[in-house]
Parts: sequence; structure tokens; C-alpha cells
Amino acid sequence: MSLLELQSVTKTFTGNSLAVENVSLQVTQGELLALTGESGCGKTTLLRIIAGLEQPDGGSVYLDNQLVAGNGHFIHPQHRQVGLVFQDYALFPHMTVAKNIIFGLGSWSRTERHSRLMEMLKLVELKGFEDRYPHQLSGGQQQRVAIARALAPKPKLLLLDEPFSNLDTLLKDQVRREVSAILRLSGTTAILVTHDIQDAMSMADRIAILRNGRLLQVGVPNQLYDHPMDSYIASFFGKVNLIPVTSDGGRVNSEIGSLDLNEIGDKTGILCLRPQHITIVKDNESATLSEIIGVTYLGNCQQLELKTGGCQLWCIQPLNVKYSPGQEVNLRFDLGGAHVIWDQH
Amino acid sequence: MISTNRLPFRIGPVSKWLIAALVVMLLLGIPIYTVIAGLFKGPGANWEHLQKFLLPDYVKNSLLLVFGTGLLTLFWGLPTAWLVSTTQFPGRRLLEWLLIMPLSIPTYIMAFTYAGIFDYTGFIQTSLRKAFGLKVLHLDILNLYGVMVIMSLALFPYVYVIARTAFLTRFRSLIEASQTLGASVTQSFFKVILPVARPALVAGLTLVSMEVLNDYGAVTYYGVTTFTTGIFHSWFSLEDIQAAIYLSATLLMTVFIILLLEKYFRGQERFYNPVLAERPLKKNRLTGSSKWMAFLCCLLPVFLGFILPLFQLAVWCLSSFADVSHIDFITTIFNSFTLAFGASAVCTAVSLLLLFVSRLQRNRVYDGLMKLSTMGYAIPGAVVAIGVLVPFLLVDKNIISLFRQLNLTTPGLVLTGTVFGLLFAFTVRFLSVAFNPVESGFEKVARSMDEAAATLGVGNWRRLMNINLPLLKGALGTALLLVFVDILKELPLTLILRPFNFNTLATRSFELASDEQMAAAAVPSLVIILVGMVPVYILNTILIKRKSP
Repeated sequence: MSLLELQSVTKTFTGNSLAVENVSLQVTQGELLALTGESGCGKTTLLRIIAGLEQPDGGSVYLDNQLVAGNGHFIHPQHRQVGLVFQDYALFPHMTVAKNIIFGLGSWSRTERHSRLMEMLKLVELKGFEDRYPHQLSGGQQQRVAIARALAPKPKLLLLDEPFSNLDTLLKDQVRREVSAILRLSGTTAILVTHDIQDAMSMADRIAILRNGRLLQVGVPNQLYDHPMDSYIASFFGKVNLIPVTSDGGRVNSEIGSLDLNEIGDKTGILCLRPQHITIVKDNESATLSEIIGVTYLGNCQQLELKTGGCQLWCIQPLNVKYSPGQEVNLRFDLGGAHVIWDQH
Repeated sequence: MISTNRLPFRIGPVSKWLIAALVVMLLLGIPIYTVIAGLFKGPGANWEHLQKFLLPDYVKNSLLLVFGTGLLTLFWGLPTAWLVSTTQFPGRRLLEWLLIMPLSIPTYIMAFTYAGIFDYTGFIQTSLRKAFGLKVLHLDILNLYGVMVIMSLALFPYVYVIARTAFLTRFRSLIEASQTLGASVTQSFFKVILPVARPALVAGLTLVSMEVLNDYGAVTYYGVTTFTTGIFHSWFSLEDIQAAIYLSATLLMTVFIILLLEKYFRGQERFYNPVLAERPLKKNRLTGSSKWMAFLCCLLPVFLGFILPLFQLAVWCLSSFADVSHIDFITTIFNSFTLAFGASAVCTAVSLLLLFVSRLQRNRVYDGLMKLSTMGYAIPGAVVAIGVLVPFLLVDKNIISLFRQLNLTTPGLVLTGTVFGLLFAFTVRFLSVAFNPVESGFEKVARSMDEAAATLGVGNWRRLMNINLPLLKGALGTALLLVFVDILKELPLTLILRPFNFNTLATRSFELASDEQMAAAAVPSLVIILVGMVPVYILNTILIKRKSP
């Protein structure tokens, strides 16, 4: 059963740019969905539509089987029971941590409020911080307060807008794990907006990729990684070799040679081959000869830029062998990890 | 499958707030509606006479005053602003601050104080007579040119503050660039700074023109007839509402033309933002005689516009304080303070309402209407007063006749016989004074604060009270203070709309001065000035923004 359903949601801003175009999406109870894409792709707008902070121009939004936006109906955010963790956290600077957390519990009794506060402080591991003011907390702590505040009124759905963008890289990994743990512990259904595919892959049950306001593909992380629908999505998950291929009934040909892929019929497409699926081998009859153009040191490995025929390739190698530009090497392609995106006709 | 039960569109609190805000905006337009409606009723019986014999003088004097005072404020304000912001000389820091102080003296107080100083019994003529005998020329300043000088002394800080801010912030790099290119200070002033500073100066001159056209006290005292005195004459002497409305309309047209001119001369620089980080300009240290020239140049307007009148008032005050009726004086102070506080509270509350709804609505049409409804500051006080008085009197008359028909004791003049009309008119005219600080306060409260509260299930009222209000404390305090002081000084509007026998410090000091009781008039005047000095320092930073139309 889906907790949230978007049906052909469309939103235009003045200046006629389509912020969100015809997006349909379902989120099931208990799921963590990551909405991702480049900045300006409409992911934050979509999040604000779900929260009720923006009104869609077309389509409908159902929350818990209830129409909350669309067909001339609109339920204001204060009546939606959707929690939102803002990118800047939006903690009320004039209120203590405790006051912030219980802010949304106006209709609760005093004792209920207090026990919920304790519950939340325990969940986000901020016991003892309840009388501090937001400016006395670190970035990570502020964020945990923001999450606790959003979770306190027991929302049906929690939305997180770029929750890790204000944290430095060192802190980010830790906070990501903490937030994941909090969300799983509380059994919250959540949507996470992020431009960082690492956030999405490490946390989400499913990932939805947006581009120019359109939803491109939704799926579990490894499905998107291994079987991207197009080369844009393939590149979005990190460096990838995109090699044009043609199939002439049985054989697949490309600039890096004839490939052992079972594909029938005449068609063209693009082979997506991750850098780690290219290895350099000592003399081997099935290998492809290639010239090294550049070497980049990456700390734990090295990245080689190669040229084979008219084709430029990237590959990752361990540091134990030293390579230099101009050198010729033999390559072997691990086609088990490859994926071909065939052109649609 | 998803069920499609239809929920009614929530006419939630947002719409109620919107209606409240729109009603308030509609009411704020009453003076304008009155003037426009009045134009369709045709001119009154006296209009032909007015038009033929008096209007040419009104137009001529008003325009000459605007032009002459404007030029003189440039004369006082521009060189001083240039000197304090680009050079270093003895006393600069103190003078930089003192140059704003004349703003705490209302034009009408400045006017009668100078009239006293130059009077036959005043200390200038007495000391001249003592020194040279009786043959000394009689110096008459009670004329158009006198008013120009007097008003420029009270109003030049508008130009000074605006120019100084421009020199300090915007043009710092330009000044430095032109100096590294070998231009002398004077050359860079005329070739680079003045042309670039033009938009800011135009803004300052517009504020000066608005104040000149609003003035009633100074011109009356000096016997100069202008639009404002014409409106008073039509209303109080001729008792001709229509003539007053026709004059108001002509005056409004003049204001409108000035605002258009401002827009034209400002060009692209419509959003002049003075709150940039001030990194002090490297100041050119003056030496030898030039540093004393600079000192005198800055001291002169401070002396004439602040020290001398304050000294004269203090002297009068000492001589008359014992004779002042204390009960009367306390009543007057009480009236003034409660009225000013009440009106500033209303102005601040209305600003808060309008801006909060703007935040809820996020609608350009609404924001446009909101800006329009805060334009009252451009309407001269006498016009606001007439525009409020006419419809309110009508309502009062109807209330009275209704009660008579019902054989009940009539409640009297509910709107015009009480301070209600005065409060309303103050709100129309001084709303923008409160609006601008509150608006910049709102700009500092992130929108996500409101949105966070909304997603936490909190309605608009609690959001306003628990989030916006505490975060806007500083801005609201500034707004209250600024309106308070402006209303304490206000004269023409109060004179027309005050209930019978109701006196404020401003009306009292003006009436006493008109009866040639300068010494007695000095007491309430000094109270106004002293209270007015408190926020002048704050004004220094937000002055430009608050009144820019």
C-alpha cells in the first residue's frame, strides 16, 4: 500500500520554466526514498509540493489515501502531518532545544509532551542538551534537533531537504549513519532530497532521479547503478566509459573491438563500462592494445586515461605498478559488469 | 487503489488574514478617495476667487520654496558630507555626528526661534544697537527667502546623511581609483563622485521637497502663502470644503510630479541600499589652514541649525519656566505622549499585519498594493487631514441624525470630536515610517522559519506570536520609536483634526509662538527636541530607507 502517491504532478514558475513536469511516483509505508538530480532539476520543488509549501499547477498528491493537492483541493501544510527538515535546519533561534522539539505538540497534554521530548532526545542522542540554544550546538547537533523536532508530532511522512549539504566531508559520513539509524529506529517513511549520489546510495531503499523537472528512473540503488536507463543516469553514478556499439545479428562491434555479448538483431547502442571493469593484463591474445594518455594519482588507487582506436577510456588501477603517459598496455574488459543501453526505435 | 474522496478547499486562516489586510489597505486610501471624489463635485463658491488671486502665489511660493530650500540643503549638506567622509581634521568625529542633529528640530520651531533671534528685541539687534547705536539696519527675515534658509537649516541632514553614506560605502573604490589616477580631491569630487552620487542626492532632495510641501508652521509664521496655508485658509476662514479639496488635488499633483521626476533622475538606481559593510575610507589628513577651514565649514551648519537655536530656546526656557502652568503643561505632555504612543502602536501593528500576510501570500499583486498603501508619507499632512475630515464628518452627522430619529441622546462627534480621526490620519501618513524597519526585520527572518512552523502543524496566529514577533522585537522597537518622535513633532495634521481644546506639545508651542510668547513656547519645544534627539542616531542608519517612496 502506498503512503504517498503523486499523479502527473506539474509546477510552473513565473518565467515559464517548468520546475516539475508530469511526475508520478509512489512511496510505500516505511520506505526511504531518495530524490536526486543536479541542482535546479526540481527535486526541492517536488519536496515542497509534498509538504504543502507549494501548490502544484497540475496533477494530484495523495497522502495516506487522502487527496491533499489537486483538482482544486489544497490542504495547507499545518494540516498535512508531514514533517520537513530544512536545508538550513530552520531552528527557532529564540527557543531552547526542548522548546524547539515540542513546538509542534501544541495540542498534547503536558505529560505527553514531556515524555515525547525525552523520547526524542534519546532517539537523537541529545539528552542533557535540552536547555541549550541552537547557536550553542554544532552543525551535526543542530541537524539532529531539526530531525527530532520534525519527528516529534509523529508525522505520516518525513521530508529531508539536502540534509547533509551544510556538513563538511569528515562529519558527513558519520551524520549519514546517525540519520539512517534514527530513521530506521523510528520506522519513519521518509523522502530525502540530495544532489549527492553517495547520500542516496548509502541510505535509500529506492532512488528517484530527476532531470529538468522530469522523473527519469526510479529503482533500488544497485538496479540503477547496474542498469541505468540512459547515459545521463550512468554518468550520474560516477565516472563511466560510454562506448558506442552496433549489433549486426549475433555480433556486437565497437571501437574497442568485437564484444562477446549475445544480442540479436540490427541495432545501435551505448556500452556502459565502469572504470573498475577494465584491467591491464600482461600479453594476452584476447586483449586490446591501448595507449596511456594520462595518469592521475587518487590516493588509494590511480586513474588512467587511455586511448584505444578513436575511443577514450578511463580505468582504475592499484598503485603497485607505475604507469606513465605514452606507454602501451593490453586491456581486458569485464563484460559481466557492463550494461548496454540500446537505442529506441 | 487510491480513493478519490473530495475534500473542500480549505478557506483556512490564510484567507481571513488576507481579508483583514486588504480591508486595512482599502481604509488607508480614504484621503485619496475623498480628494478624487471631491473633484467630481465641482469647485466651491470661492474657487474662482482663489484661482484668480491666490493660487498663482501658492504655486509660485511653493515651487520657489521647494527649489530654493533644495539648493540650500545641497549647499549645507554636500560639502560637509564630502569633508567628513574623505578627510581628517580636528573635531571630525564629533561633527560627523552633530551634523545630523538639526533633524531633531521641527521646521516651525526653527522658524519662530530665528524670528526671535532676529527680532527687534532679540539678542542680535540688541547687541548691534549697543555696539553701534540706533542707526543699525533693520534685518527682516520674515519673508520667502527667510523661510528657505530656515527650512534648509532644519532639513539639510537628509542630504548630508544620504550623501555621506554614499561616499562611505558605494563610492569608496571610485574615490580611491580616481585618486590613484592622479586626480586631486576636488577634481575627483566634480568629475567622478557627483555624477555617480546623483541618484542618492535626488533621493535626498525628494525627501526635502516632501517636508517643504508638508510644512505649515514655518510658512505661516513668516507670512508666506503656500498650498498648505491655502488649504488652512479655505477650511478655517472660508469654510469651503470644496476649495480645500481642489487645493489638495493640485498639491497632490505637484507631489506626484516630484516623484516622477525623482524616478526619472534616479534612472536605474532605484534600489539604493545604504546598509553595506562600511569599511572606512582612507581619509586624507588635512594640514595647516585647510584643516581649520574644513572644521569651520562643518561647524557652521551645526551652529546655525542646532547649537544657536537650542541655545536661544534654553535661554527663553530658563526665563519662563517658573511661569508655566504646570497642570496645563503636564496635560499637554500626557496628550502628546499617549497620542504618539497610540499612533505608533497602530502603525507598527498595521505594518506587522501587512507584512505577515505578504509572507503568507507570496503574491506580487498583493505586494504591489501593500507598497501603494504605505505611500501616505508623500501626501502632505494638510491633505491627509482634509481627506480624513470630510468623510468622517459625514459619518458623524449620520450617526447623530440616526440617534435623533431614535430619540436617543446623541453621542456627539464620535470620529471627529475624539482622537480617533487623528489616530487614523496619523496611521495613513506615518505608516511607512514604521513599515520600513519592520520590513527589513522580516527580511532577516528566514522564510524557512515560517515554513518549519507550518509543517509542524502550527496555525498562522501562533506562528505570528511565537515565531515572528519574538524574532522581530528589535525592528518593532525601532518602528515604535521612529513613529513616536515623528508624531510628537507633527503640526498641520494635528491642527486640523484635533478635538476641541485638545493640545499637544506641537500645537501648544506653535500657538504660543504665534501669540509672540516665545519664552513660553520654548518649554514644549525643548521637550520635542530632546525626545527627538534620542532616535536621530538610529535615524542616521535607516533614515534613507524609511521614507524613500
